[in-house]
Amino acid sequence: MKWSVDRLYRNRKALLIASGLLIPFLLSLLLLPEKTFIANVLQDVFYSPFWALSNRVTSLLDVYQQNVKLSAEVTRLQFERIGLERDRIEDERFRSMIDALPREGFRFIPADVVAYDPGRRYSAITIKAAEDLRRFRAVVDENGIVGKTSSTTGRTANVSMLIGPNCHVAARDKTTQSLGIIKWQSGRGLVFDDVAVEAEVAVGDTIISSGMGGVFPEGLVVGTITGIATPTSAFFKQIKVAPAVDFSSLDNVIVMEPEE
Amino acid sequence: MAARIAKFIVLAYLVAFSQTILANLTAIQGIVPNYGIIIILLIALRKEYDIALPAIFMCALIIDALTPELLGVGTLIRFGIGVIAFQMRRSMNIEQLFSRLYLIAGADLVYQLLYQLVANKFDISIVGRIYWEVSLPTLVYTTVVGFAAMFLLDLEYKLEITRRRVG
Repeated sequence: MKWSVDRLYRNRKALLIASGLLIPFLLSLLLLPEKTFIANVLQDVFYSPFWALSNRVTSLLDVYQQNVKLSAEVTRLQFERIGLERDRIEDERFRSMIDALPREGFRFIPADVVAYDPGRRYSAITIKAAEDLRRFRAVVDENGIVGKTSSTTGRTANVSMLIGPNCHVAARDKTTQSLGIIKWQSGRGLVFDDVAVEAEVAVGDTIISSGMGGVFPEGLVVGTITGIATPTSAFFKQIKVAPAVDFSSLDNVIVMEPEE
Repeated sequence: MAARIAKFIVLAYLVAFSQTILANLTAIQGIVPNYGIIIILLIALRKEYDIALPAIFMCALIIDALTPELLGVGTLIRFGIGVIAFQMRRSMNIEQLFSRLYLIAGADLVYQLLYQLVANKFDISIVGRIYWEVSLPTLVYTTVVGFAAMFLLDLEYKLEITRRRVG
C-alpha cells in the first residue's frame, strides 16, 4: 500500500495530467441533463454574482441613457414652449389689433416686421406676410396707423411709415371734425397741416383718419395734438401731433386689404 | 494550504469576471478576446506544475460551464493546450516576449479550430465561415490583449527584481 502511494506521489505530475484529461472526457460523455445540472451549479457559484452586478450596471446605464433622452426632450419642449408663448402673445396682439380696427369692407393680413429699410432707417420698414401683398395699403397696429405699403415683392412689402416724408394721411380732429393732412416735416416732426386758423382744435384732441384719399379707411387713430400755434399772417394753424404708434418697437402689424 | 485555496477561489472568480463583465466591457463589434486562453497560458508560463495543472483545469471547467451542451470538450481542449504550453516552457526559450506572442496566437488558433470543429460536428463549411467571421478577429484581439498582459506582468516582475537589488 505504502509502495503504491509513494509511487503515485512520485508520478503526481503524470497523475494530474491524466486526471485533467480524463475528467473532461468523462464529462463530455454525460447526457445533456447531467451536463446542464453541473453547468448550472458552476454558474450559480461563480457567475451569478457577476451577472447580478452586470444587470445592475446595465439597468443603471439604461436609466442614464433615458435621463439623457429625457433631458434632450425637456430642452426641446422648453424651446417649443417659448415658441408657443411667443405665438400666443403674437396672437393676442393680432386679436387686439383686429378688435381695435374698423372692419367693414376690409380683410386683415397679419404681417411680421422683418427689417428696417437700411436706406431709410427711421421712415421705412420691411414686412412679411403669409400671402401676397399689394401697394398702397394701410398698415396698422393696435394703436393706430403705422404707414402704407409703398412697394411689394410677393409676400414682402416695404412700408413708408407715418414718421417719414412719403406718407401723408387725410385726417380729422375726432372731437371737432376739423379736416387736415397729417404729414412729416423735417425739423418739425409730425404735423396736422392745412387746418384753417378759425378751426376749433385743442391740445389733447385725438386725430383720426378721415377716409379721404382712398388708402386709409376712416376712423384709424393717427395721434394726439401736443401743440398748436396760430401765426397772425397765416391761413393755417401749425399743429404738432404725437403719433399713437410706438415706432421704435414695431413687431407685428396688420395690412388692411380692401375686399373686392 | 488555506492561502493556496484562497488564491484558487480568487482565480476562479477572476475567470468568471473575465467571461462576464470584462468580456462585455471589452467587446468590439461583438468580438471578445479569448480571456480563458490568456489566463491559462499565463498560469502555464508562470507557475509550477503542482499549482499550474489544477488551476488550468479549474479555469477550463469554469469557462466550460457557460456552454452546458459542450461541457467537457472545452475543458479538455483548454487543459490540453495548457499542458502543452507548460511543456513548451520547459523545452523552449519561451521567456522572450515574441515567443509568447506566437504561443498565444498558436494556442488560440488551435483552440478555436478544435472547438468549432466539435461544436459544429466537423462540418468544414460552417467551421470555415465561423472561423473567417468570428475566430480570426478573436485571434487577433486575443493576441494583442494577451501580449499586452504578458508585457505588463513582465515589466512588473522586472521592476520588482530591480527594486530588490537596489534595496
